[in-house]
Amino acid sequence: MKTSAGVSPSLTGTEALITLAGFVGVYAALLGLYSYVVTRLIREEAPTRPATPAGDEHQPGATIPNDD
Amino acid sequence: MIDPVIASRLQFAVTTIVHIIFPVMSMGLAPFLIYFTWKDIRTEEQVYRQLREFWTKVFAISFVVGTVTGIVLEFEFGTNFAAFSTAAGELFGGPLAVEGMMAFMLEATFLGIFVFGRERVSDRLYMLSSVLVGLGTWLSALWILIANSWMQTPRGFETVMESGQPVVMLVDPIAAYANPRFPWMYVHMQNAALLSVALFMAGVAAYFVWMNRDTEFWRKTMKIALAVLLISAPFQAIHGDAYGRHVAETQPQKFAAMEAQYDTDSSVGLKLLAFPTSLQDITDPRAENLFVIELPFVASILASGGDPGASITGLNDISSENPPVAIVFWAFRAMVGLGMWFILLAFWGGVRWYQGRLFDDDRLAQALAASSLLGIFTVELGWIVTEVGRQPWVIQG
Repeated sequence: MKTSAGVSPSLTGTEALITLAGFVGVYAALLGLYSYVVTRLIREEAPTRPATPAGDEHQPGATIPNDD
Repeated sequence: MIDPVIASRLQFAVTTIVHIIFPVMSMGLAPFLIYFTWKDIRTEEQVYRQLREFWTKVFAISFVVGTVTGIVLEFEFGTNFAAFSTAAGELFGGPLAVEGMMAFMLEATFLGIFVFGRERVSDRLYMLSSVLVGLGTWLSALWILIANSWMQTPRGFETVMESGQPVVMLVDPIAAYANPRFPWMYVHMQNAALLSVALFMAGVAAYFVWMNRDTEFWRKTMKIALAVLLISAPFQAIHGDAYGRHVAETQPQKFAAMEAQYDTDSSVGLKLLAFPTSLQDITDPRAENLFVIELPFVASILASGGDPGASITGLNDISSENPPVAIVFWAFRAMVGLGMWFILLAFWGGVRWYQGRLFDDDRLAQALAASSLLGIFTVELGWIVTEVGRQPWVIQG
């Protein structure tokens, strides 16, 4: 079966174009929101307590406790 | 006004290109989460708890957005491709429905326990829920790819006429669902998801290493991701090579488009790198016009399974209606090229790890960080080859 034969017979180009534009907008927004949330998670929620190198264990101010 | 066929295809392309990002994230993260959960329960080390908690958040968001963007796709079969649904619904609808009822429900139910239940259920049930969530994501892919692969290599059906329209009837479900393409597609896709997520995790971790803000959490993330990359990247290339041979056998038109082979020819070389020699070659690549670095006879050997003189059927001898060759040809080359880059990155990281200098190589950290989203991008390229390459057919005929 050809793709051109699979399209809804009553669908007009105008209708398809309107929904295409709508979905481009909605999906771009969703993708943007997802990227924003994941970036924020990585920046702010990931454990940022530094690995303490040997002999360098008392670094005041370098620890940002951020569990929960 | 615009042709409804073009607009419908564009709409499906846009929605599916965005949607696939999220399943790739959740399918690729699932095995990592099972491992983190297991290590967390067994060792009670803080870093594994942090790894599990953090990457579960990323997983949960991917799951939610993946669901929202995925539901639309199923409706598009009805709204935009109603004639296809009428003709193939009996075969195509089944796997989609099972995906929703079985895989999605399983995943959604146990995701609740997995995200909120660490302190509320026993270790054993918690471990089990992480496995069932992972299984759910992989089962989803199984049913979706059964539906897709059937369109590429349709089997187990009969076409009957119903009120003047051809309609597909399912006669042999096993032949239809275990069609020849399915195992190739499933292995290639699942490994691609693992590879993409490993690259993403390694890339983000490498960024923190490069910025000298790495913690034990990021170091562990980078090591585990790199270990997965070291296996999945070479495997994808070896598997992809055999997959290509299968495509040459079952969809010669797609294979010829991937190689821009218009004329049937024997002893064809594999084009490792192809450079357009004119602007026209970019939009209309033709094997005979490109400047190529090729392995002589290899395309023939690959397509035939060993015969260097085997002929490859050109597009001109298959059909008068070709897929958009330029898109397929360049997407395929970009996919393979990026795949090679991932192997190089994996080995680079592996060597540094072996030398005990994994966190001292700024160049490596920069390269990994820059490549963090390229895995997902390569998945898109692969799907473009698959879906554009099978045109003009929606069900390969």
